[in-house]
This record gives sequence, structure tokens and C-alpha cells, in this order.
Amino acid sequence: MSSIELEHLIKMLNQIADNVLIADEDEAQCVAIHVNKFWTRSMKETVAQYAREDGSELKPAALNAVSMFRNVN
Amino acid sequence: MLKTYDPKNAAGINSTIDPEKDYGTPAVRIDDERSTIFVGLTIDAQQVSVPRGTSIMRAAALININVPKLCATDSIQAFGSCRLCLVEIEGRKGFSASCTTTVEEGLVVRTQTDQIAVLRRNVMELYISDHPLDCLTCAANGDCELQDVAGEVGLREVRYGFEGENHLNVEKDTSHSYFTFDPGKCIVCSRCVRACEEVQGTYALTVDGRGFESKIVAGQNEKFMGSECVACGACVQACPTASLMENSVIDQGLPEHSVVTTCAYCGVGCSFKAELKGDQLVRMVPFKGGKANHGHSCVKGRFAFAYATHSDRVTSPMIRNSIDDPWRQVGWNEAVTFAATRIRDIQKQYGRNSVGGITSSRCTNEETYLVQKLVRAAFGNNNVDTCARVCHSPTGYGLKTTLGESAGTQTFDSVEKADVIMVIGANPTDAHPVFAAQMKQRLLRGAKLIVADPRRIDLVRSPHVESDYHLNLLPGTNVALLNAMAHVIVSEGLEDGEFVANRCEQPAFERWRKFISEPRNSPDAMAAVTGIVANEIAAAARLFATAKNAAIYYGLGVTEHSQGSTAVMCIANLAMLTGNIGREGVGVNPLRGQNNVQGSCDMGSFPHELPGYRHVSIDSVRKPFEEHWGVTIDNEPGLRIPNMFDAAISGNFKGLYCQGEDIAQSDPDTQHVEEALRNLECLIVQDIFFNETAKFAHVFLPGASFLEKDGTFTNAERRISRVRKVMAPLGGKADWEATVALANALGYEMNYESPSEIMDEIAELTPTFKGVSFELLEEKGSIQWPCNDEAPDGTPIMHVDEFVRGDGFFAVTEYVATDEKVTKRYPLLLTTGRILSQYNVGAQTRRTENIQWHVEDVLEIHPHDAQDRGVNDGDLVQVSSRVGQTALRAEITDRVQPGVVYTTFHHPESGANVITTDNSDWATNCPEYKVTAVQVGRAAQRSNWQSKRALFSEQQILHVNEAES
Repeated sequence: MSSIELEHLIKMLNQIADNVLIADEDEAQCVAIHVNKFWTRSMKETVAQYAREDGSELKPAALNAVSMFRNVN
Repeated sequence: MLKTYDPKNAAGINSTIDPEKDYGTPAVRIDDERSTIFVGLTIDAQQVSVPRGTSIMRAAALININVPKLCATDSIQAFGSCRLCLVEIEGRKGFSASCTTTVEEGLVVRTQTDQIAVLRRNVMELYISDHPLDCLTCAANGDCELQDVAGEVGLREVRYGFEGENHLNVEKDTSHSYFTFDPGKCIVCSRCVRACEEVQGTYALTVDGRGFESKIVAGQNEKFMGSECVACGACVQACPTASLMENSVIDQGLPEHSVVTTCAYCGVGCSFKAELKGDQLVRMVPFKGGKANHGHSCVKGRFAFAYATHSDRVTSPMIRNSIDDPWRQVGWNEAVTFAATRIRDIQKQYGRNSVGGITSSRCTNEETYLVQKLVRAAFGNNNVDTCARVCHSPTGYGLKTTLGESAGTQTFDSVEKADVIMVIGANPTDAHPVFAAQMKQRLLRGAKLIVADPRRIDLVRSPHVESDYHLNLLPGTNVALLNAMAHVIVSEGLEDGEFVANRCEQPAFERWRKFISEPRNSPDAMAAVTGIVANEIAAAARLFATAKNAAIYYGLGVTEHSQGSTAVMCIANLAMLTGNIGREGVGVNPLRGQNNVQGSCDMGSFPHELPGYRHVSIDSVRKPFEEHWGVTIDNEPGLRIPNMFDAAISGNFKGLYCQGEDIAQSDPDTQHVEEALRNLECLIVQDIFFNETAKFAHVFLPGASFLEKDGTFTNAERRISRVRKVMAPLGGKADWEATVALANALGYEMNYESPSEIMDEIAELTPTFKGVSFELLEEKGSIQWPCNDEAPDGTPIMHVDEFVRGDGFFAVTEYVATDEKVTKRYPLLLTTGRILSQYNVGAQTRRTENIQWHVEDVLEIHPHDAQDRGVNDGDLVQVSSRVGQTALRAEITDRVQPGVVYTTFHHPESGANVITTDNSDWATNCPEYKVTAVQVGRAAQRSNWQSKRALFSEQQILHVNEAES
């Protein structure tokens, strides 16, 4: 995995957190629903690993969403 | 297929119309209240009942009495100048022109008497006295209405002789590449002038002078090429003589047969008669029976077809081990075996998910379906995407979320009933010209127009059409503007409360109303963000909300933003809020870029959805596909195109099958894309030309043009139309056959005899397509999906009684500014678009005479910004963004506002996408092509990237030439 890929994934996840609240109140859950709908397993795993090891660049809702990613160890 | 008029079927009169026949004058418009009131009359002792307002000429033609005519044709209003169509009406003095005289209850009309015969013969005699008698060597010989009518009236002599003053030797205008104007053969019937006004709405032609001096002139008495003519060809089609004639017919003679097919350019999806001699295409004539275009066309569809047989076509499969090697021409078997072996080796080494495919929005539904099937079934993953990723993927997301279906809600004809039209982020006169012509006619009849665009597009001001409001917002602020409009409507109580209460989800609406009512969404608050004064926003909002019927048309200027999906939801919110959905004249209308971008999305080209927009994670959705295809389908979404590039750079994605798509030119941040493509170990490109992407490929499979295959395209109004093969594939296989060969080489068996079988499989597996078949398309001409048991004839207007999702959903649409902001270093905003004569990456149109209208991409820059930088018109300027640099010629124009620059991406060497960035829509990853912070300055030479590209291209062309030698 290149740093550019992780950089893009972090940016995308933060962007989702900024935008995703179209209805429900639980922002992190909205982020997770969106990611589960559109992201591949490997993209989710890459970010989940980053969240475990560092996670400092993720916005709170993005970070909290990671535990709700489907099919990710 | 001559059909006779059946009075029993009078109410449905349009359904009995023979599109091959000229009824002389048009039908009464559907927005004319007279169209539903029928009157009866007698013509030559036959009874006929037609809508009030119909001409006697048309009423007669409907019962197959064809009154001679020259100045009348049913694409334009009656004019009454040629006096050939005179008829007798009982109780009236003299003779009436049947084209300009409308029917009345109880009229008794005679179309042929001895007196009429003499009159008509005398009129023809005058015409012919000033017309060359070179019929046998004339280009229109056999296709000339003047010749036909002379025969019909029995003209036997011209008593005036031919020696008097005449127009026979007037010089021809041969300035135009596609047609010739020969004034010597002109009868000044003004059909061309009226077609230019009433069909196209450009007003480029006029009749200059009076009496004997009358002549047709283009522009201000200019050559056609120098005038404002947009080369739509409506005048050529309307001309009854050889005065305006296609050069292809002058050169080759008249075609001897024709096949109805669908244009392969934009998302309007015009129906054309491809007119041929043998398998040589002579001309394309828009088909009057086409429900998207009603016999109209643009310069691309009608004239720009020479690319299909251009010498640049690659017609043999080629392979190579590395992109540094020369190509080797091989047979199909060897090519697909080579490709399949490489793909399987990659999967063995890097895993099942290390390969993927890109389906083409230029290919047919059947072909697109097969590519996604190949990826899901033979590659065994969901790594399939399509170019809609980079254009209308936010439409899919936004409309699915709010309305429940990823598609526009209307027909194009719906615009005929719109009272207020809002065009946002679209430039229809350039990108969707045939629909723009229809829209302009509606505007000419009084509809109001709101344009929201950072540029002054032609619709803002063109002859006889002017927008009521031009909201020239700053790029990237659509959501701010649309929220502010909604704020005005809610705060002033202009919403359609009844519609919202009956049709929309209430808790969501209440939450949205609270959000939108907040002062931060007001026009005052958003004025600074959008750059539009608050009063303008409010006035436009009021105009929109108070219209009886208001319709929104939008394009990539909405979707290609970091908030593209949010803006689409804003548009859906506005339509629901004002009750403008579920009937004619209203709706949410995405103007689709490529001919089959709607279809490619419908066919399951997105990595998270199977055909019919159903998510791969749902077991009941996957099951029928798994059973039919005999495989297990992954329940996790696959990679989208930008994710594929990132994964390729990471080394996890190694193989790509790319059909009919030039990602190296069309996708943003070119240098990033090139790096990704260089990392692939097997890139299979299937295309009609050796495009930019092919330069990075290992396998090249020759593509087939739309003339070389059967299938269907689906246009922006969900209209499925047939594409019909008129010549054999130059490369030996239609695109669907190539995919079948590749699948079989991969060990996944595909057996289809024809695209019709593929459509049957699509219909079996896709609920919204259940009723679709080639047989039904033959019968109906075209069908708008959903087409199933509930809607066996298709669905012109969606969401009529309820939304597809049940209740409409108001999504909260918070404005979040893009990260791409102007800085001291990059103080201007670049936005991109396309122009009329070129199409997308230009691979097709650059290989036609259309090139003369646009030899290079230029940078539009406002005079103030140019002056600040010492830039003169025509100077080479360097355009730099945080990701790259390129050099273009500057065009100084106040069409763009200060602070904004604009360019197109039709030429690969321009490198417009070297500058565009990796920013993308938050929901779909659709790139933010429309907002890039840049600096512009004078340049002495082309950029480094341009020089490197030129060298690389040259090398790659050599590699191709080596294969051929």
C-alpha cells in the first residue's frame, strides 16, 4: 500500500464524515453505513489498520465509524 | 409502412403517423389546448376529423390525399408562399392555400379541379423558368421535390423561355465541409430560413432583398462557414431542391437503402436513418419517428461520422509483453488467450481482487452487461466501474436517496409544458444541442429561464432567447445557491404544502425544514459564498416556486464537485418542495454526457450494484444472478475507478480490461493516472482507435463502431432504442463478441448468438427491464424503462402517484466548501467543459471535418485577469495547479467572470487533466473537474508534461507501426 492510497482513504473518510449527515443523528453510524455500501473490503481494512495504529488524522465521526465496518477484522 | 388514417383512432392521432411521410404542416402542439378538440370536414368527398388548428393540407395528407406543395414541410409552420397547394372550399371565393388555412367544422374541400390544375401548372412554369434544367446531372436527381411536383402538376412546357433575367449562374457557396449552397437552384421557399428558426432556433439564415432580388443569405451576407450557422443541417434537410445539399451526396450520389439506428454521441440519443449504398454510409438523416429528436440533429450526429471508416482505425488485435516493446499483430484467438493467461497469472500471484474492468458508456447495453458479467463471473470480483464514475455517479446516488431511482424523471418532450426552466451546471446548446433546440422553442413561446452557471453560456443570451436570471455563481458553490433558494421558498411560504404532506416522508421533511430555515442558509448569508447578490437569488427562487410547472435540467456542472451528490439531492429537494414532480412539464432532468451512460449504469456497471441498481450485499439480489451465471458473487462492493488507480500505485491492482473508454485522457490528475497505468501488468484496451490509454496497454482488441453492431442504447430520458448494424465490424468482431471470446478464453463459458439473447437475459434478471425485448422495440420503436408487468409500454414520467422509494426523502444538504480554494499561489478557479463540435476526448470528432471548428483547446480568461498577467489574446499561457502544469493558448473573453478560467479537454496534447486534481465527490468519488485552483502566466513553450507526452506518443505510434509492417 502506498502512502498516497492511505492519504486518499483518510481524506475520503473525513469528507464522508463532513457530508453524510443527511438524516439520522448518529454521525458515526451514517459514516459506517455509507462506507459499507461503497468501499471494498481492502479499503476498509486499510483504514481500520490505520485507525488502530494511529488514527490521528481521522475526524471523530470517521474514527468512531471504523468499528462498525462490515467484514473487517 | 404506409398507414391510413383511422378516425376511430383519432384521439391517438400521433400514433398513426408515418414518420416517412411529409404531412406538409406540423401537428397541433401538445401544449396547445386545441389539440384535444376535434373538428370534422369533407375533403374530396371523404370525411375526416382532426384537432382544431390543423391545416387542410395536413388533414388531407392524413387520409392520403397529398396536395402538391413546395414551401411547406411538416417540420416547420406553414408559410403560404409557393401557391401550389391551392384548394377550393365550398362557399368561399377564390382559392385557399391549404397549408395556411385551418380546418373548420363542416368545411367541404376539393383539392383537385380543372381550374386548380391550370393554376398549379402556371405557378410551376414560373418556378422552372428560373431553374436550371440539368436534372440528370443534378445531385438531387431522384430526391427533388421540385422535380416531383413538376411531374405531379403535369408541366409540359415553359412558355417564358430561359433567356430572361435569372439566377442560374450565381456562385455556389462551398465554404462548408459538409454541404454546398447553390443559389442557382434555390426557389426561395424559405424552408431553410424557417428550419433554422423553428427547428434549431439559431436564426443564422434570412431572406435578403425583395421580389426578384430575394435571396437566402447566411449571417450578415456571409459564407455559411463564416456565419453563426451551427451546422445542424436542418436547412439541408428542409431544402426541397439541390440548393442545399450534403457534399457526401454530391460526391457519391443518392443512397439506395437506409437503416434506422441511434446516434453514438451525446445522451440525447437521437434516432437516425443511416442512408447507405451497399455498406458505404452516404449520409445520416435524423429520423422523424425518433421520440427523442423528432427529426432534428446536430452537427455531430448528422455530419461527423467519417471517423467510423478513418484510416486510424485499428482493425487487428495486437499484443506485447511490455509497453516498451513493439506491438505484434495476432489473430483474435491468440490475443484473448494471451490476455486470459496474463489475467489468471496475475490473480494467482496477487489474488482474485487484483484485476478489474471498465465498461463503456459508448457501447451498447448488451455489451456493457457482458463486461460487468465477465468481471463478476469470470474475474470473480466486483471490480467493475464505468465512466459514469467521472460524470453522473452523483446523480445515481442523489436521486436514489431522495426519489428512489437513479434516473431522470421525465421525457424530453416534457419541456414543452414547462413554464419555468432552470438550467444549472449544463450547457445544452453545446453538449445536448438537439434537446437545447427543443428547449429554445419552448422559451420562444414564453417559458421563463433561470441559468445558474459561472460562465455566460449561449442560453443566457442568444437571438430571441434571454434568461430571466443568470446566477453566475463561483465554481463550487452550487449547494450554497440551491440551499439559499430553498430557504427563500420555505421562509416565504411558497412551498407546495399539500404535495409535501401527501408525498414525502414527514420526519425527514421537518428535520430538513428546520435546517434550511436557519439564517446561515439565507441568500444574505450565501451571497458572499456564491458571489450572487441576495436579491437575485431570492427573485429566482420566487420565479421557480410560483410557476405552474417548473423543471430543472442539470449536467456535470452539478455533479463534478466535492459536493456533487449533495447538489443533486438539493435539486430533488427543490422539485419536491415545490411539487414539481410526477407530471409533464416538471421534474429532475440530468442531461447525460455520453450516448449510453444511463444504460451503462442501468446494466450493473457500478462496483456496488447489480443490474437495475440493486446492492450486491443483498442475498436476494445476488441469488438469481448466481443461479443464472453459475457462480458465487462477492457480497462486498468492488473498486471504483479512482480506487483502482490508487490500488495500482500501491501494487495491489495489476490487471484491467478497459472497453471503449480513454481513462488516460478523460480522468483527472493525468500524471497520477499514468503512474497507475504503468504499474499494471496486463492492460487490455478495446477501442476503435489507438487511444491515449492504449499507449500503456499490453493487449489491444479492435473495437467496433456503432455502425458495426446490433444492440440498444438508453438515453437520458431512460429511452431504450435500437442500434442496428449497417456494416461488418472492421476488426472482425462486434464488441460483445470480443467480450464473449475473452470470457471463454478465461474458462468462463459464454454462448450468445445475438445481442437479442443478451437482452433477454437482462430482462429475466432485472425487474425494471422485465418487459424489454428486441421484439417489443421493433414494435414500439423505443421504450422508456421501467418496462414490466405494471408498465408494459414503459414509463415516460416517473414517480406519478408515489415515489419509487415510497415517500420522497428530504436529505439535509449542508454546504461544505471544497478543499480546493484559491490561494495567493493559485488565485484563479479553473472550470472545464465541452463545446458543440467536439465530443468528449475527441477521438471521434477530431477525426472528422469538425476539427476545423476547434483545432485546439484554449483557455478562456477574463480581460481583467489577462491584463493583470500581461496576457494577450492568442498568447501561449502556462496553467498551473498544485498537481501539474500545461500550456494552452489564451482566449480573452468576458464570457467567464473575473477570477474564473475555463477550458475543454477534447485534445490529448492540451493536458487539461494534468491540472485537475484528485478531489472528488464525497459520496461517489466523482472527480471535481469543475473546480481547480490555478495560476496563469505567459509561457514561452509547452509544459514539461506536454513535451514528455509528445515523445512517449511518438514512440508508441512507432510501436504500432512496427506491428503493421
